[in-house]
Amino acid sequence: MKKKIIVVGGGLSGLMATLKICEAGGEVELFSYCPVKRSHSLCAQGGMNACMDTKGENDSVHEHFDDTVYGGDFLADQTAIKGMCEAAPKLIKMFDRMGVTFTRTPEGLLDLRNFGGQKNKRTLFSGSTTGQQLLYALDEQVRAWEVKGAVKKYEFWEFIKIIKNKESVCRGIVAQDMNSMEIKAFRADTVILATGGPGMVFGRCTASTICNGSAVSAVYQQGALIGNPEFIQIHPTAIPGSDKNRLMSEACRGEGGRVWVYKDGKPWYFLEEMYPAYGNLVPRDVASRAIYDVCVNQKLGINGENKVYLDLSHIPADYLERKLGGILEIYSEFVGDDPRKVPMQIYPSVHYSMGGIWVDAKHNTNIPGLMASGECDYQYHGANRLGANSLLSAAYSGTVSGPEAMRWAKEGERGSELTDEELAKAAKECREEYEAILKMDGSENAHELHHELGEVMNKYVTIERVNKDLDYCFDEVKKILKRWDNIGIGDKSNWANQEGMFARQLRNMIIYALVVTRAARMRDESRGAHYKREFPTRDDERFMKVTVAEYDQATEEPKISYADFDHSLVKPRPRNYAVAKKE
Amino acid sequence: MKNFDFWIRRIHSLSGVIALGAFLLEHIFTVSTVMGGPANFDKSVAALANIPFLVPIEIIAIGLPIAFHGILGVVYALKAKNNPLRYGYWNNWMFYLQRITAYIAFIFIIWHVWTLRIVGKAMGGHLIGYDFMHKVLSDPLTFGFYVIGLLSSVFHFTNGLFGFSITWGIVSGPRGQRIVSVATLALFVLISSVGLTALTHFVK
Amino acid sequence: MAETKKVHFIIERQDGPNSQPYTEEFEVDYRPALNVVASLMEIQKNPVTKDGKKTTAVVWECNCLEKVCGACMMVINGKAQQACAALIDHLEQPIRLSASRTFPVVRDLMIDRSVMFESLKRIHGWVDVDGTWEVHNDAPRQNPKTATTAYEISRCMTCGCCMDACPNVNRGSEFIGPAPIAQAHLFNLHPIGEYQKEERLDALMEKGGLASCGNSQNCVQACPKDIKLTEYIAKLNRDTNKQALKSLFNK
Repeated sequence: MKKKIIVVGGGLSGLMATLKICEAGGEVELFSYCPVKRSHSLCAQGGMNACMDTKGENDSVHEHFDDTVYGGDFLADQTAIKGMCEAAPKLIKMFDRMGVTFTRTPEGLLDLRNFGGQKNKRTLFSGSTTGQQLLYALDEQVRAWEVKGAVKKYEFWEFIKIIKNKESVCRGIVAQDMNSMEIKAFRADTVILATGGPGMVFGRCTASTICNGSAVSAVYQQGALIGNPEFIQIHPTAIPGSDKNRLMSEACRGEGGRVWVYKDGKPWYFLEEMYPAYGNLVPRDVASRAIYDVCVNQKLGINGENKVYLDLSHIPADYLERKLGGILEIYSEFVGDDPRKVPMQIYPSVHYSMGGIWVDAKHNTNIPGLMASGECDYQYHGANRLGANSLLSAAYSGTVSGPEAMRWAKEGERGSELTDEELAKAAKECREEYEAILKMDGSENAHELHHELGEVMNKYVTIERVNKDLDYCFDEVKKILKRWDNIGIGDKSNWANQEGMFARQLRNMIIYALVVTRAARMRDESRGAHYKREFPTRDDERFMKVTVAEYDQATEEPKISYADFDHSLVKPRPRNYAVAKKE
Repeated sequence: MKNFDFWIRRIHSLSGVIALGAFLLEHIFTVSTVMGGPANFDKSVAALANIPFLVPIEIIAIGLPIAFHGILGVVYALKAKNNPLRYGYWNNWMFYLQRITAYIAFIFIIWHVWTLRIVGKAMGGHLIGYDFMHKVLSDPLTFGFYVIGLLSSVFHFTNGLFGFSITWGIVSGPRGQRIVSVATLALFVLISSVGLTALTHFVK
Repeated sequence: MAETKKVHFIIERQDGPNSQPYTEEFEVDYRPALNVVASLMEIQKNPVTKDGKKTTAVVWECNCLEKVCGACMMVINGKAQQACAALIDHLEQPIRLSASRTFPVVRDLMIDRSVMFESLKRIHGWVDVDGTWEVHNDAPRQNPKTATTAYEISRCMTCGCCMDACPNVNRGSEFIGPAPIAQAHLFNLHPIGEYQKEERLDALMEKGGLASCGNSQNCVQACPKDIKLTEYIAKLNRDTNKQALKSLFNK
């Protein structure tokens, strides 16, 4: 009998895993709460890193590896990163064969550009919508497998939780049809979560509205461990907005964009002055902190507001069109100014979670039979992710988790298959839970509550973290959790009831917010995206360890511990982007 | 047959331009000889009447293509949800007019052939000539219907050429399409002014 | 305090696929750069109509809010467009929202566009690679100009604006519509994808294929990504004609 793997999430990682499983002869049931072609991977703009060395710079896979380790402030599994960097050029060639419309050099080869935290041109791109093109390529390949019958898609189905058998092995999931609201349990030989990041926990951010981390939180509450949750990437250049902060790709700086504010009446290119070696192309955590410092501490933001200029106006318009077209449209469209002519106004925004479900080298979680890959895992980026490494880690992790899921399905100690009674029981529990939500008649509005959660998380758990504030924030989030019990659901209908589903997601978001906040509170050092003025330096002795968060049923709070990880390949050294990187 | 639907649609397009378009041009040319005087018109009508195998030619080369193009065209046109009020772009109005003029031309042609060629000539035994046409067109209502019928047919033909050039992949780019669009519009003005002038000569 | 400016919405609602549509009116506080999705989010936070009647939050679909995922297409003041990119400042009030009824309505503004994804299967919308493994060969080089054209088409986000605008796409017609047609051209442009060009053109010659295009050219106006749909339709017309003749005479 064919092995059946459930993949939850149809972004780059989920689709990549799906393809690998199909090629290995397995069958996939692919769950997604949107058509997979609309997954958040398509928001990645700038590109994907791979050492192609076609620009005469003697770039090497080792250099890519070292930049990633250094950029991540030595908190990521080095063997895992090495595997990823080695696979990168092969993945690019695969995407090229699949028809990704990479931007090309005049002689028809794949073009490369600069990106933050790397001195060599190493970023392959497709205009400024690289994620969209990569996602579409995999979506197309999966569609071909769908036609062959190896993939069955469950689009507009929301994952609710995993089901474990009596040996505590994950052998299925419960999911809900978002139109008919039917709740159903499904059997599987292996389950892969590829559900993306938790951006919505912070309310306004660069993430899609679907990136709520609800699935991750759900399995965390079922015993999956979370790794490094406090490491939240703040992207330095986003267009602040009242509904969301729209990303302005790092490619802007990669293609020569300069960041500045007025100081004493003259433009001050502060990144170039503070970090002469890397200039505007410092990694994201460094750039974000500098912008924060200039605006908040030095009060030099544009018109006193928290904004700085990102300037492309000195670059020829046709060059910009070719290299950045798509995102300049976004700016013109949503702001109304033409970035080819006037400098853009930007400010940092929550963007990506380096942390996520704890996994081993093969993307197995601590729950047997449950795997995680993509942004929802914690594997490849340590304390800070380099730009253009996320498309890489998403695609690469799928090439690891897919085959491993098949291996587990064949050889793993999976115990007994779920019985019909066990399936029925799991579905029934979720149904009762959902029905209880629908009956809620309190005074709180779930969306309003979510807004408050975002405000408090954005205020206290982003660029600069202060222990006293984190304590306050934790209490506030706990209050929000308490207030969740007093939500009122106005929509009692049993058809496409978004309000009911959102309330369930919101509870998961709040629980996850506690994890991020507590982990940030506990890490008394500064490393990568995690910065505390009280502890301004990296403390390798105490904290060159993975934060591991475990759910405590009784308190609904995380229990934090620290675990060793593989850093056998390069020795940690101070991270300083003012000078050229030394090995 | 493989590609049956495709071929039917393509033949529909071809029949519109090659059979109907050519006949329309010929017809307007013949009629416009009236501008040289009634005798001139009668002479060209007589010349046409002398074509050997006239009736089979009329049925096969003109009647059947018209029936094919017309009936199928109505079926196709009825499937559209016209939306020029929501999407008021030039080409969408042209699309809409193409269908409106199709309905008008369809009715006009049936009536035109019925009253003149069938009831008038074949059954009534009238000789089609200037005198007869003068009598028919002197009725202002009939004249009005002829004007509308003529304009609709000519518009449907010339605007059809624009579609034809795209259906057959003759032009593709935006500039090429603009050129053809302007050219067909000019053709509409030209042919319809010839036709209208000819019509007025029948009632002088 | 000055009274805040209000934005007036008239929203066509529908409880389920077979229910009768009805309208409800809402008012949302104006703020600069407000767009339709952000307004709907405000309604979610306080689902009360203009007359103060409590109601349910409006149901719609959205993901990225950056005009790249294609989810939030709806009919705004008569035209299908991405709600996230529909800035209030550019719209005439009252703003009328309705679902794109070219597609089956799920609920309120949410529609079922699965037909578009099915069409991508019909037109063989992928490159036939042997597998995701390494083949120890580089993919062929591409003319950068062809690649630029391909990039333009590959930005299609399956939003369905062109389908809503097209008079020949509707529930009484079998026309496949502009978006999947342009996708067929995309794969035909690729040096490996080209190997399946014949299959794609054959698919486009089936009933409801390319020949059902009525040349209204609304698609190219409606496309939020400025994809030159009519140009690619014309190019495919040429390609299909050639192939139709070939298969008629050469086989």
